Amino acid sequence: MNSSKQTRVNGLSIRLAILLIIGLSPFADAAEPMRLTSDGKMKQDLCFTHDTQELIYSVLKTPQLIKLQRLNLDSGTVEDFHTSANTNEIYIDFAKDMKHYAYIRNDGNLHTVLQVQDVENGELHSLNPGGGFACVRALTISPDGQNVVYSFPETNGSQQLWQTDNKLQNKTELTKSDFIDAYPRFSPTGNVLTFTSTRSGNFDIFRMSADGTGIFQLTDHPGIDTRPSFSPDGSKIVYTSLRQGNYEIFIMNADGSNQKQVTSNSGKDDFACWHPDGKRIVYVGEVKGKRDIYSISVQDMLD
Amino acid sequence: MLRLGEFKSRSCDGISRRAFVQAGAALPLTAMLTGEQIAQAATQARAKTVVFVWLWGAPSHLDTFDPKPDAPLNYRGPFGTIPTTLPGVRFTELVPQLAARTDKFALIRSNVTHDGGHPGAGTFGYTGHREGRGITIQPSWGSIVSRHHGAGAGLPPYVMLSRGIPRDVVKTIDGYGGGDWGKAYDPFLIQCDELGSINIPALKLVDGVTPDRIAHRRNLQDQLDKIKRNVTADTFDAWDSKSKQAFTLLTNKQALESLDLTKESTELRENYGQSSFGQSLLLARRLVEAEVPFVNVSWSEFVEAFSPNTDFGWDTHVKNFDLLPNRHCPVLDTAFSAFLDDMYDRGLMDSTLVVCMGEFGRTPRINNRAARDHWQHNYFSIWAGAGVKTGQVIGASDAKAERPVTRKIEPTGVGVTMLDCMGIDSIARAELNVLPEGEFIHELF
Repeated sequence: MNSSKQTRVNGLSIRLAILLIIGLSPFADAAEPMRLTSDGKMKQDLCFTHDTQELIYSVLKTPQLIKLQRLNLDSGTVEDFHTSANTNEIYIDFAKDMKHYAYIRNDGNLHTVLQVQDVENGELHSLNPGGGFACVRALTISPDGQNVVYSFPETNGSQQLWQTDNKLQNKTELTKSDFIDAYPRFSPTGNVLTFTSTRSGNFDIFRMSADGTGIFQLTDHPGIDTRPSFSPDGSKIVYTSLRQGNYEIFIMNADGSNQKQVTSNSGKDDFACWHPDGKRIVYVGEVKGKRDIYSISVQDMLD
Repeated sequence: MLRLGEFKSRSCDGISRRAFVQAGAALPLTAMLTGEQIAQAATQARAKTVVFVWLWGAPSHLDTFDPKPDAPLNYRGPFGTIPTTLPGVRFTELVPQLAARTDKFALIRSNVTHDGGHPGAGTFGYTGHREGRGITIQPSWGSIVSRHHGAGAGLPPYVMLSRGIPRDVVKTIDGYGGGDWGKAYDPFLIQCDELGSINIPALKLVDGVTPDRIAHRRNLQDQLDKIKRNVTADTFDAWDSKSKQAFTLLTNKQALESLDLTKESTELRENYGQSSFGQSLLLARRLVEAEVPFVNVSWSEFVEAFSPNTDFGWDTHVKNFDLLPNRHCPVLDTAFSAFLDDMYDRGLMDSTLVVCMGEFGRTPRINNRAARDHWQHNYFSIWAGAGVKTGQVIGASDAKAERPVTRKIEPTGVGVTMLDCMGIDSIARAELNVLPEGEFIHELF
């Protein structure tokens, strides 16, 4: 090693040591997280509405019930989303005009159905994937509210992405593989989907056109990369990665380049989505044994 | 009735069936149950307490402690593996904290059982015996310890920390308690929620007395005063054994303090995590300090992983690759790691045997729902304390984790080892007429 490189390495080491001594992480270009909830209950599946900009998420409300809740970021008030729901509800997503939203309902023993609420007409459409232990896994609704993409297992042990219209008719299989495809999310334009897949041998993040063509791998790491979600302008993707040995939030460009770590917390950080302002990430962080929702600015990381 | 000739189990001292028959024959029956002998056995026991952590619903062995990274993808699944502190031993990336603590426990990778259904395998896991119509229900490990050791001062000898008796949506397991010995040997059920609040269902049986929640000491004192005002000698006599135990416990200050998690530092409670399982493990540690002989912590009441009105067990016929990384493994990894740390830090492991396991494993081949079904032919168990040689893996499974390639560890072996550690050796078991078969797991010590 030449002397100039040696000096540079030493300098980096000293800077890192100073950062550690004063309690800052080397990822301090992301601001400090701000806690938005305080009950510590298990939460997941974060998603913003497009009108009131409320945050909707599922929470383990009682030992036997996961409910969708709405958090008003201005007032801090928390309410049940479906007040009368008496069974588990997870994975909600909203069309941009808020006229439709989709979610998953646990209607029987190891059985879930996909539901689409037509807000204007008050109609609720339900897709029963079959008898036995049939479970719709995760979903996303297109920004125009016309289509829903969801993941569902095949008999060969794989799991594929399917598309259906908002009345849950005319199903089409978007992916056909021997792998597990999961956690689809539409881009803001509705032209592109990002999702998690085992095509690379473990969970990595992929993207493809909304018609299922042009599959392209975005991350490639032996640790889990999962739960991708587009930024409001479609240029970035936030996701969860276990590549550091702990669940942390990362962002990258929508083409997979410029991958950056956002959080650095000894607990589990997961279930991230973008704030509608495009400058903040909202996620579930486990701090001191409690799982609460945090917001963190990534403005300085956007270039 | 003592059936010497039927006993095939081996004790930790290696007493074989034949040796035992000789010993038993030389010993007058009337002398075999004396308090002196029980006391002597107790002094020879490796453990004062067993903590039996029950991962109800059956976790996947491949996705946790016995990964097969070289198996085809439709077997090994999507999770990566990470090194542990043991050279050459890898776990999946879902349990990093436990991977960093392999010096604190021994792992068995060659457990097998004989029933592919939850209630049946549950009864095997709790008693070593089969359940079914017309079959005598054998007492569970905790009930045997309970009968052998008797009740202590204030606290019941067999405490189950769970939302309820382990069950699926159809039925409870037969073997959870005293079986044909009767309900007097059933576990004393204590519910502990994610915040560490305690509920004792047995008290609900007492007419007019409903201390549902014992979260704060002031509330607790109010509840106790109410109970005492309402209880007369006649009422007390009319109660069943569990209600009497509950009342005795609640009127014993020292015993009662064992249930009070507010005595613990905030930091320690946080280390266990805000989950019912985590706080129950912390409560278990307090019961160990109170010398309760057998503490059973159950992950859940129901096996079902995702069903209405159940509490998210490990039965991942669906959503295995969602639930394990999202919820189950992080909770287990955090809570059980904190428990091990805490137990070692307080010097409790010398006198406590900790066993953590489910009723079976899950299918190595991924099922047609992109998940895993029941697999009784191979699973894991974790052992620590009471002289267990930690930092070792015992037994091995084949290339796809389908079957052990080493000696199979049966539920009877698990039971014999637990009971032997508690000083309930083959002679004592014969006296109690329990567990006539089973081989002590010598590799652990």
